[in-house]
Amino acid sequence: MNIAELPLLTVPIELKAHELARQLAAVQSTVQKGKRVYLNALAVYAVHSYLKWLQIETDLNSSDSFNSAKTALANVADLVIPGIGSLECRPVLPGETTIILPEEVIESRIGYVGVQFSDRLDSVQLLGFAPSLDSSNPPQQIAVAELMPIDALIEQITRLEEAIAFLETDDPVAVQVRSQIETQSQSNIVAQFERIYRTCEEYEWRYAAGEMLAGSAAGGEFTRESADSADTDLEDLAEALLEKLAEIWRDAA
Amino acid sequence: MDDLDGRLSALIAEVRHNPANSRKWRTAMHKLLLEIQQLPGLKKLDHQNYPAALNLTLEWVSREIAKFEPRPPSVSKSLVNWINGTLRWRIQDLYSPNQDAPISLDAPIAVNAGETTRLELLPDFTLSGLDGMIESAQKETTQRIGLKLELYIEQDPEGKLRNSYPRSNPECNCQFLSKRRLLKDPPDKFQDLAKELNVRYTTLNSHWNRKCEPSLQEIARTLGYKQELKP
Repeated sequence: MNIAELPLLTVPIELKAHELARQLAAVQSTVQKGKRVYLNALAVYAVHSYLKWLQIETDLNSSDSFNSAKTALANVADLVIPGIGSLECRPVLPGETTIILPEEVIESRIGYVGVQFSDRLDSVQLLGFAPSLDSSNPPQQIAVAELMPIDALIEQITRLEEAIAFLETDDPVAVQVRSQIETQSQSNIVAQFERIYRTCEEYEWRYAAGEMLAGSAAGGEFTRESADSADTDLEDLAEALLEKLAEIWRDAA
Repeated sequence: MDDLDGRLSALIAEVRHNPANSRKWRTAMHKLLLEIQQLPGLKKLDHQNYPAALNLTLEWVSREIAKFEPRPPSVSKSLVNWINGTLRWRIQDLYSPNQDAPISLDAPIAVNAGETTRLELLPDFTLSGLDGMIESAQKETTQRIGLKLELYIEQDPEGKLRNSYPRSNPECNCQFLSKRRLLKDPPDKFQDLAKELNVRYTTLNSHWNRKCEPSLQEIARTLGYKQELKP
Protein backbone atom coordinates (compact mmCIF):
# COMPACT_ATOMS: atom_id res chain seq x y z
CA MET A 1 0.00 0.00 0.00
CA ASN A 2 1.30 3.43 -0.79
CA ILE A 3 0.82 6.37 1.50
CA ALA A 4 2.30 8.98 -0.82
CA GLU A 5 -0.97 10.40 -2.09
CA LEU A 6 -3.06 10.38 1.05
CA PRO A 7 -3.46 13.55 3.12
CA LEU A 8 -1.71 13.16 6.47
CA LEU A 9 -3.09 13.90 9.88
CA THR A 10 -1.35 16.79 11.65
CA VAL A 11 -0.83 16.68 15.40
CA PRO A 12 -0.12 19.97 17.19
CA ILE A 13 2.72 19.81 19.72
CA GLU A 14 1.95 21.76 22.85
CA LEU A 15 4.41 23.49 25.18
CA LYS A 16 3.94 20.83 27.82
CA ALA A 17 5.41 18.25 25.45
CA HIS A 18 8.41 20.50 24.78
CA GLU A 19 8.90 21.04 28.49
CA LEU A 20 8.89 17.27 29.21
CA ALA A 21 11.21 16.63 26.26
CA ARG A 22 13.57 19.37 27.44
CA GLN A 23 13.77 17.83 30.93
CA LEU A 24 14.64 14.46 29.44
CA ALA A 25 17.21 15.93 27.06
CA ALA A 26 18.83 18.13 29.72
CA VAL A 27 20.13 15.14 31.72
CA GLN A 28 21.74 13.33 28.78
CA SER A 29 25.51 13.23 28.38
CA THR A 30 25.80 14.91 24.97
CA VAL A 31 23.82 17.31 22.80
CA GLN A 32 23.47 14.57 20.20
CA LYS A 33 21.90 12.15 22.70
CA GLY A 34 19.80 14.97 24.09
CA LYS A 35 18.45 15.71 20.63
CA ARG A 36 17.62 12.07 20.02
CA VAL A 37 15.77 11.87 23.34
CA TYR A 38 13.98 15.19 22.69
CA LEU A 39 12.68 14.19 19.26
CA ASN A 40 11.72 10.69 20.42
CA ALA A 41 9.71 12.26 23.26
CA LEU A 42 7.90 14.65 20.89
CA ALA A 43 7.07 11.79 18.50
CA VAL A 44 5.69 9.69 21.34
CA TYR A 45 3.74 12.63 22.76
CA ALA A 46 2.17 13.31 19.36
CA VAL A 47 0.95 9.72 19.00
CA HIS A 48 -0.34 9.92 22.59
CA SER A 49 -2.33 13.06 21.64
CA TYR A 50 -3.67 11.38 18.50
CA LEU A 51 -4.79 8.27 20.41
CA LYS A 52 -6.48 10.56 22.93
CA TRP A 53 -8.57 12.01 20.09
CA LEU A 54 -9.58 8.41 19.33
CA GLN A 55 -10.28 7.83 23.04
CA ILE A 56 -7.61 5.15 23.24
CA GLU A 57 -5.86 5.26 26.59
CA THR A 58 -2.07 5.45 26.76
CA ASP A 59 0.40 5.64 29.64
CA LEU A 60 3.31 8.03 29.14
CA ASN A 61 4.58 7.50 32.68
CA SER A 62 5.13 3.79 32.11
CA SER A 63 6.79 4.35 28.75
CA ASP A 64 10.59 3.97 28.68
CA SER A 65 10.79 6.99 26.35
CA PHE A 66 9.63 9.21 29.24
CA ASN A 67 12.00 7.73 31.81
CA SER A 68 15.27 9.64 32.04
CA ALA A 69 17.36 6.60 33.02
CA LYS A 70 15.91 4.37 30.32
CA THR A 71 16.42 7.03 27.66
CA ALA A 72 20.05 7.36 28.75
CA LEU A 73 20.41 3.61 28.27
CA ALA A 74 18.66 3.03 24.96
CA ASN A 75 17.29 4.72 21.86
CA VAL A 76 13.63 4.12 22.63
CA ALA A 77 10.46 5.89 21.51
CA ASP A 78 7.84 3.61 22.98
CA LEU A 79 4.29 4.44 24.02
CA VAL A 80 2.51 2.05 26.36
CA ILE A 81 -1.10 1.20 25.57
CA PRO A 82 -2.23 -0.41 28.84
CA GLY A 83 -3.19 -4.07 28.50
CA ILE A 84 -2.29 -4.12 24.82
CA GLY A 85 1.44 -3.50 24.46
CA SER A 86 4.00 -0.92 23.36
CA LEU A 87 3.92 1.10 20.19
CA GLU A 88 7.19 2.48 18.82
CA CYS A 89 6.86 6.08 17.53
CA ARG A 90 9.92 6.90 15.41
CA PRO A 91 10.74 10.47 14.33
CA VAL A 92 11.38 10.99 10.61
CA LEU A 93 13.36 14.18 9.94
CA PRO A 94 13.10 16.30 6.76
CA GLY A 95 14.80 14.50 3.88
CA GLU A 96 14.81 11.09 5.55
CA THR A 97 13.11 8.31 3.60
CA THR A 98 13.63 5.42 5.99
CA ILE A 99 12.87 4.71 9.61
CA ILE A 100 15.86 3.25 11.38
CA LEU A 101 14.97 0.62 13.95
CA PRO A 102 17.60 0.33 16.68
CA GLU A 103 18.13 -3.22 17.95
CA GLU A 104 16.54 -2.45 21.28
CA VAL A 105 13.12 -1.63 19.81
CA ILE A 106 12.60 -4.65 17.55
CA GLU A 107 11.27 -7.01 20.18
CA SER A 108 8.16 -6.49 22.23
CA ARG A 109 6.52 -3.84 20.06
CA ILE A 110 3.05 -4.19 18.58
CA GLY A 111 4.06 -1.93 15.71
CA TYR A 112 5.84 1.17 14.48
CA VAL A 113 4.47 4.64 13.72
CA GLY A 114 6.45 7.02 11.49
CA VAL A 115 6.21 10.64 12.69
CA GLN A 116 7.23 13.33 10.19
CA PHE A 117 9.01 16.39 11.54
CA SER A 118 9.62 19.68 9.76
CA ASP A 119 11.82 22.54 10.91
CA ARG A 120 9.00 24.09 12.94
CA LEU A 121 8.39 21.94 15.97
CA ASP A 122 4.86 23.17 16.72
CA SER A 123 3.29 20.23 14.88
CA VAL A 124 4.12 16.88 13.27
CA GLN A 125 2.39 14.64 10.78
CA LEU A 126 1.55 10.97 11.21
CA LEU A 127 3.15 9.27 8.21
CA GLY A 128 1.91 5.75 8.63
CA PHE A 129 2.18 2.46 10.43
CA ALA A 130 3.97 -0.86 10.18
CA PRO A 131 2.73 -3.76 12.31
CA SER A 132 5.11 -5.85 14.46
CA LEU A 133 7.93 -7.72 12.81
CA ASP A 134 9.29 -11.20 13.10
CA SER A 135 11.88 -10.81 15.83
CA SER A 136 13.96 -13.76 14.61
CA ASN A 137 14.82 -11.98 11.38
CA PRO A 138 14.05 -8.31 11.90
CA PRO A 139 14.77 -5.63 9.31
CA GLN A 140 16.98 -2.79 10.54
CA GLN A 141 14.90 -0.15 8.83
CA ILE A 142 11.53 0.42 7.20
CA ALA A 143 11.15 2.58 4.09
CA VAL A 144 8.67 5.39 4.64
CA ALA A 145 7.15 4.51 1.25
CA GLU A 146 6.33 1.03 2.57
CA LEU A 147 4.34 2.22 5.58
CA MET A 148 0.63 1.49 5.61
CA PRO A 149 -1.86 4.32 6.16
CA ILE A 150 -2.33 5.21 9.81
CA ASP A 151 -5.78 3.50 9.76
CA ALA A 152 -3.82 0.25 9.95
CA LEU A 153 -2.81 1.25 13.48
CA ILE A 154 -6.48 1.43 14.44
CA GLU A 155 -7.00 -2.03 12.96
CA GLN A 156 -4.01 -3.43 14.87
CA ILE A 157 -5.04 -2.01 18.25
CA THR A 158 -8.64 -3.12 17.78
CA ARG A 159 -7.59 -6.65 16.82
CA LEU A 160 -5.40 -7.02 19.87
CA GLU A 161 -8.18 -5.70 22.12
CA GLU A 162 -10.63 -8.20 20.61
CA ALA A 163 -8.21 -11.08 21.09
CA ILE A 164 -7.50 -10.14 24.71
CA ALA A 165 -11.24 -9.83 25.34
CA PHE A 166 -11.70 -13.31 23.86
CA LEU A 167 -8.99 -14.76 26.11
CA GLU A 168 -10.97 -13.51 29.10
CA THR A 169 -14.18 -15.35 28.10
CA ASP A 170 -15.43 -18.77 29.25
CA ASP A 171 -14.85 -20.30 25.84
CA PRO A 172 -13.12 -23.67 26.48
CA VAL A 173 -10.19 -22.68 24.24
CA ALA A 174 -9.73 -19.43 26.16
CA VAL A 175 -9.90 -21.24 29.50
CA GLN A 176 -7.30 -23.77 28.40
CA VAL A 177 -4.95 -21.11 27.03
CA ARG A 178 -5.22 -19.17 30.28
CA SER A 179 -4.22 -22.23 32.26
CA GLN A 180 -1.20 -22.80 30.01
CA ILE A 181 0.31 -19.35 30.01
CA GLU A 182 1.33 -16.97 32.70
CA THR A 183 -1.10 -14.10 33.09
CA GLN A 184 1.36 -11.29 32.48
CA SER A 185 2.25 -12.59 29.05
CA GLN A 186 -1.34 -12.57 27.72
CA SER A 187 -0.93 -9.40 25.70
CA ASN A 188 2.38 -10.70 24.38
CA ILE A 189 0.80 -14.03 23.30
CA VAL A 190 -2.00 -12.16 21.57
CA ALA A 191 0.44 -9.87 19.74
CA GLN A 192 2.40 -12.88 18.47
CA PHE A 193 -0.71 -14.75 17.39
CA GLU A 194 -1.83 -11.67 15.50
CA ARG A 195 1.54 -11.54 13.74
CA ILE A 196 1.30 -15.22 12.76
CA TYR A 197 -2.27 -14.64 11.50
CA ARG A 198 -1.09 -11.67 9.45
CA THR A 199 2.21 -12.97 8.08
CA CYS A 200 1.96 -16.78 7.83
CA GLU A 201 0.05 -19.00 5.41
CA GLU A 202 -2.82 -20.89 7.02
CA TYR A 203 -1.02 -24.26 6.74
CA GLU A 204 1.87 -22.83 8.81
CA TRP A 205 -0.35 -21.68 11.69
CA ARG A 206 -0.34 -24.93 13.64
CA TYR A 207 3.42 -25.23 13.81
CA ALA A 208 4.26 -21.53 14.22
CA ALA A 209 1.64 -20.87 16.88
CA GLY A 210 2.34 -24.18 18.65
CA GLU A 211 6.03 -23.38 18.89
CA MET A 212 5.23 -19.90 20.17
CA LEU A 213 2.87 -21.24 22.82
CA ALA A 214 5.42 -23.87 23.86
CA GLY A 215 7.90 -21.06 24.49
CA SER A 216 5.44 -19.22 26.73
CA ALA A 217 3.86 -22.16 28.53
CA ALA A 218 4.21 -22.02 32.28
CA GLY A 219 6.13 -25.23 31.60
CA GLY A 220 8.99 -27.11 33.09
CA GLU A 221 6.66 -29.93 34.08
CA PHE A 222 7.14 -31.94 30.91
CA THR A 223 9.63 -34.78 30.97
CA ARG A 224 11.61 -35.64 27.87
CA GLU A 225 9.43 -38.71 27.25
CA SER A 226 6.22 -36.74 27.41
CA ALA A 227 7.61 -33.78 25.44
CA ASP A 228 6.39 -34.99 22.08
CA SER A 229 2.82 -35.54 23.16
CA ALA A 230 2.92 -32.26 25.08
CA ASP A 231 4.03 -30.50 21.90
CA THR A 232 1.14 -32.05 20.02
CA ASP A 233 -1.28 -30.92 22.72
CA LEU A 234 0.07 -27.39 22.58
CA GLU A 235 -0.12 -27.37 18.79
CA ASP A 236 -3.75 -28.48 19.02
CA LEU A 237 -4.46 -25.70 21.47
CA ALA A 238 -2.56 -23.10 19.46
CA GLU A 239 -4.38 -24.06 16.31
CA ALA A 240 -7.75 -23.91 18.07
CA LEU A 241 -6.97 -20.45 19.45
CA LEU A 242 -5.75 -19.10 16.15
CA GLU A 243 -8.88 -20.40 14.41
CA LYS A 244 -11.07 -18.69 17.01
CA LEU A 245 -9.19 -15.41 16.64
CA ALA A 246 -9.22 -15.64 12.84
CA GLU A 247 -12.99 -16.01 13.05
CA ILE A 248 -13.31 -12.89 15.21
CA TRP A 249 -10.99 -10.85 13.01
CA ARG A 250 -12.53 -11.99 9.73
CA ASP A 251 -16.04 -11.20 10.94
CA ALA A 252 -14.98 -7.73 11.95
CA ALA A 253 -13.14 -6.92 8.74
CA MET B 1 -25.30 18.96 -0.64
CA ASP B 2 -21.81 18.97 -2.10
CA ASP B 3 -19.24 16.19 -1.82
CA LEU B 4 -17.61 17.57 1.30
CA ASP B 5 -20.92 17.98 3.12
CA GLY B 6 -21.93 14.48 2.07
CA ARG B 7 -18.67 13.02 3.42
CA LEU B 8 -18.92 14.95 6.69
CA SER B 9 -22.54 13.92 7.26
CA ALA B 10 -21.75 10.26 6.58
CA LEU B 11 -18.77 10.29 8.96
CA ILE B 12 -20.72 12.04 11.71
CA ALA B 13 -23.53 9.50 11.32
CA GLU B 14 -21.03 6.64 11.51
CA VAL B 15 -19.56 8.07 14.72
CA ARG B 16 -23.03 8.52 16.23
CA HIS B 17 -24.15 4.99 15.48
CA ASN B 18 -21.14 3.08 16.80
CA PRO B 19 -19.60 2.70 20.26
CA ALA B 20 -16.41 4.67 20.84
CA ASN B 21 -14.20 1.60 21.23
CA SER B 22 -15.30 0.02 17.94
CA ARG B 23 -13.28 -0.26 14.77
CA LYS B 24 -15.98 1.64 12.85
CA TRP B 25 -16.12 4.54 15.31
CA ARG B 26 -12.33 4.88 15.39
CA THR B 27 -11.92 4.75 11.65
CA ALA B 28 -14.73 7.26 11.11
CA MET B 29 -13.31 9.57 13.79
CA HIS B 30 -9.88 9.39 12.19
CA LYS B 31 -11.33 10.35 8.81
CA LEU B 32 -13.49 13.05 10.33
CA LEU B 33 -10.48 14.65 12.05
CA LEU B 34 -8.59 14.50 8.78
CA GLU B 35 -11.48 16.31 7.03
CA ILE B 36 -11.74 18.85 9.84
CA GLN B 37 -8.04 19.69 9.56
CA GLN B 38 -8.52 20.55 5.88
CA LEU B 39 -11.58 22.76 6.47
CA PRO B 40 -11.06 26.41 5.58
CA GLY B 41 -11.86 28.94 8.30
CA LEU B 42 -10.60 27.17 11.42
CA LYS B 43 -9.42 29.86 13.82
CA LYS B 44 -5.64 30.17 13.91
CA LEU B 45 -3.39 32.20 16.15
CA ASP B 46 0.27 33.05 16.29
CA HIS B 47 0.77 32.05 19.91
CA GLN B 48 3.30 29.58 21.18
CA ASN B 49 0.77 27.45 22.94
CA TYR B 50 -1.88 27.58 20.22
CA PRO B 51 -1.12 23.86 19.64
CA ALA B 52 -2.47 23.12 23.15
CA ALA B 53 -5.71 25.01 22.40
CA LEU B 54 -6.11 23.12 19.12
CA ASN B 55 -5.31 19.79 20.73
CA LEU B 56 -7.88 20.27 23.50
CA THR B 57 -10.45 21.36 20.95
CA LEU B 58 -9.98 18.23 18.85
CA GLU B 59 -10.32 16.10 22.01
CA TRP B 60 -13.57 17.93 22.68
CA VAL B 61 -14.77 17.31 19.11
CA SER B 62 -14.15 13.60 19.61
CA ARG B 63 -16.25 13.57 22.80
CA GLU B 64 -19.04 15.88 21.72
CA ILE B 65 -19.54 15.41 17.99
CA ALA B 66 -22.81 13.53 18.57
CA LYS B 67 -24.28 16.83 19.82
CA PHE B 68 -23.42 18.75 16.67
CA GLU B 69 -26.47 19.98 14.68
CA PRO B 70 -25.73 21.13 11.15
CA ARG B 71 -27.37 24.43 10.12
CA PRO B 72 -27.68 26.23 6.81
CA PRO B 73 -25.92 27.14 4.62
CA SER B 74 -23.83 23.98 4.85
CA VAL B 75 -22.60 21.18 7.09
CA SER B 76 -19.00 22.23 6.63
CA LYS B 77 -19.60 25.92 7.46
CA SER B 78 -21.66 25.15 10.53
CA LEU B 79 -19.09 22.55 11.67
CA VAL B 80 -16.32 25.15 11.42
CA ASN B 81 -18.41 27.61 13.42
CA TRP B 82 -19.20 24.97 16.01
CA ILE B 83 -15.52 24.06 16.42
CA ASN B 84 -14.36 27.70 16.41
CA GLY B 85 -16.80 28.38 19.26
CA THR B 86 -14.79 26.07 21.51
CA LEU B 87 -11.41 26.90 20.03
CA ARG B 88 -12.03 30.56 20.91
CA TRP B 89 -12.49 29.61 24.59
CA ARG B 90 -9.35 27.49 24.61
CA ILE B 91 -7.42 30.36 23.06
CA GLN B 92 -8.75 32.74 25.70
CA ASP B 93 -7.50 30.32 28.35
CA LEU B 94 -3.98 30.84 27.02
CA TYR B 95 -4.11 34.45 28.17
CA SER B 96 -5.82 34.02 31.51
CA PRO B 97 -3.86 33.02 34.59
CA ASN B 98 -4.87 29.48 35.44
CA GLN B 99 -3.80 27.80 38.67
CA ASP B 100 -4.22 24.36 37.15
CA ALA B 101 -2.07 25.06 34.14
CA PRO B 102 1.11 23.00 34.25
CA ILE B 103 3.21 26.03 33.39
CA SER B 104 2.06 29.57 33.96
CA LEU B 105 3.18 31.33 30.85
CA ASP B 106 2.24 34.82 31.92
CA ALA B 107 3.41 34.81 35.51
CA PRO B 108 6.87 36.17 36.33
CA ILE B 109 9.32 33.29 36.64
CA ALA B 110 10.82 34.41 39.91
CA VAL B 111 10.46 37.45 42.11
CA ASN B 112 13.85 38.82 41.19
CA ALA B 113 13.28 38.19 37.51
CA GLY B 114 11.14 41.31 37.41
CA GLU B 115 8.57 41.29 34.68
CA THR B 116 10.14 38.56 32.59
CA THR B 117 7.59 35.87 31.90
CA ARG B 118 8.16 32.41 30.56
CA LEU B 119 6.37 33.39 27.39
CA GLU B 120 9.08 35.92 26.57
CA LEU B 121 11.89 33.56 27.40
CA LEU B 122 10.60 30.64 25.40
CA PRO B 123 12.83 29.88 22.48
CA ASP B 124 11.36 29.37 19.05
CA PHE B 125 10.94 25.67 18.71
CA THR B 126 12.69 24.72 15.50
CA LEU B 127 14.68 21.70 14.47
CA SER B 128 17.60 23.91 13.49
CA GLY B 129 17.54 25.64 16.88
CA LEU B 130 17.32 22.43 18.87
CA ASP B 131 21.06 21.83 19.37
CA GLY B 132 21.54 25.24 20.95
CA MET B 133 18.50 24.90 23.15
CA ILE B 134 19.53 21.46 24.41
CA GLU B 135 23.10 22.59 24.97
CA SER B 136 21.99 25.39 27.25
CA ALA B 137 19.46 23.15 29.01
CA GLN B 138 22.27 20.67 29.69
CA LYS B 139 24.57 23.42 30.99
CA GLU B 140 21.90 24.49 33.46
CA THR B 141 21.43 20.94 34.69
CA THR B 142 23.63 19.73 37.49
CA GLN B 143 21.97 16.31 37.74
CA ARG B 144 23.14 14.94 34.40
CA ILE B 145 22.31 11.31 34.76
CA GLY B 146 23.79 10.56 31.34
CA LEU B 147 27.22 11.92 32.30
CA LYS B 148 27.24 10.27 35.69
CA LEU B 149 26.21 6.98 34.17
CA GLU B 150 28.94 7.12 31.54
CA LEU B 151 31.55 7.90 34.17
CA TYR B 152 30.26 5.03 36.28
CA ILE B 153 30.49 2.61 33.35
CA GLU B 154 34.09 3.71 32.65
CA GLN B 155 35.18 3.36 36.27
CA ASP B 156 32.84 0.65 37.56
CA PRO B 157 34.04 1.49 41.09
CA GLU B 158 32.52 -1.56 42.79
CA GLY B 159 33.19 -3.98 39.96
CA LYS B 160 29.43 -4.64 39.67
CA LEU B 161 29.51 -4.52 35.88
CA ARG B 162 32.91 -6.17 35.33
CA ASN B 163 32.02 -9.13 37.50
CA SER B 164 28.72 -9.90 35.83
CA TYR B 165 29.14 -12.33 32.93
CA PRO B 166 27.64 -15.55 31.61
CA ARG B 167 29.36 -18.67 32.98
CA SER B 168 32.87 -19.18 31.54
CA ASN B 169 32.75 -16.01 29.44
CA PRO B 170 34.33 -13.34 31.67
CA GLU B 171 35.16 -11.12 28.72
CA CYS B 172 31.45 -10.91 27.89
CA ASN B 173 30.84 -8.82 31.01
CA CYS B 174 28.43 -5.96 31.57
CA GLN B 175 31.14 -3.30 31.66
CA PHE B 176 32.49 -4.36 28.26
CA LEU B 177 28.99 -4.61 26.79
CA SER B 178 27.91 -1.26 28.27
CA LYS B 179 30.97 0.45 26.81
CA ARG B 180 30.19 -0.91 23.37
CA ARG B 181 26.45 -0.31 23.60
CA LEU B 182 26.19 2.95 25.52
CA LEU B 183 29.49 4.77 25.18
CA LYS B 184 29.79 4.17 21.46
CA ASP B 185 27.66 6.04 18.98
CA PRO B 186 26.28 4.34 16.99
CA PRO B 187 26.38 1.36 19.33
CA ASP B 188 27.91 -1.96 18.24
CA LYS B 189 25.40 -4.59 17.24
CA PHE B 190 24.84 -7.57 19.52
CA GLN B 191 25.44 -9.88 16.56
CA ASP B 192 28.89 -8.33 15.93
CA LEU B 193 29.79 -8.33 19.62
CA ALA B 194 28.85 -12.02 19.87
CA LYS B 195 31.13 -12.81 16.93
CA GLU B 196 33.98 -10.75 18.38
CA LEU B 197 33.75 -12.47 21.76
CA ASN B 198 33.04 -15.87 20.27
CA VAL B 199 29.90 -16.18 22.37
CA ARG B 200 26.47 -17.34 21.21
CA TYR B 201 24.22 -14.43 20.27
CA THR B 202 21.39 -15.66 22.50
CA THR B 203 23.76 -16.02 25.46
CA LEU B 204 25.01 -12.47 25.03
CA ASN B 205 21.57 -11.04 24.37
CA SER B 206 19.93 -12.67 27.34
CA HIS B 207 22.82 -11.72 29.64
CA TRP B 208 22.37 -8.10 28.52
CA ASN B 209 18.60 -8.16 28.99
CA ARG B 210 18.50 -10.10 32.25
CA LYS B 211 21.61 -8.86 34.03
CA CYS B 212 23.22 -5.76 32.50
CA GLU B 213 20.11 -3.69 31.83
CA PRO B 214 18.59 -4.19 35.28
CA SER B 215 21.99 -3.42 36.89
CA LEU B 216 22.35 -0.25 34.87
CA GLN B 217 18.85 0.84 35.78
CA GLU B 218 19.59 0.21 39.44
CA ILE B 219 22.82 2.19 39.14
CA ALA B 220 20.96 5.02 37.42
CA ARG B 221 18.46 5.03 40.27
CA THR B 222 21.17 5.28 42.91
CA LEU B 223 22.86 8.03 40.92
CA GLY B 224 19.72 9.99 41.56
CA TYR B 225 17.54 10.15 38.52
CA LYS B 226 13.98 11.23 39.12
CA GLN B 227 11.31 8.70 38.24
CA GLU B 228 8.69 11.30 37.53
CA LEU B 229 9.06 14.29 35.30
CA LYS B 230 7.86 17.58 36.61
CA PRO B 231 5.95 19.52 33.99
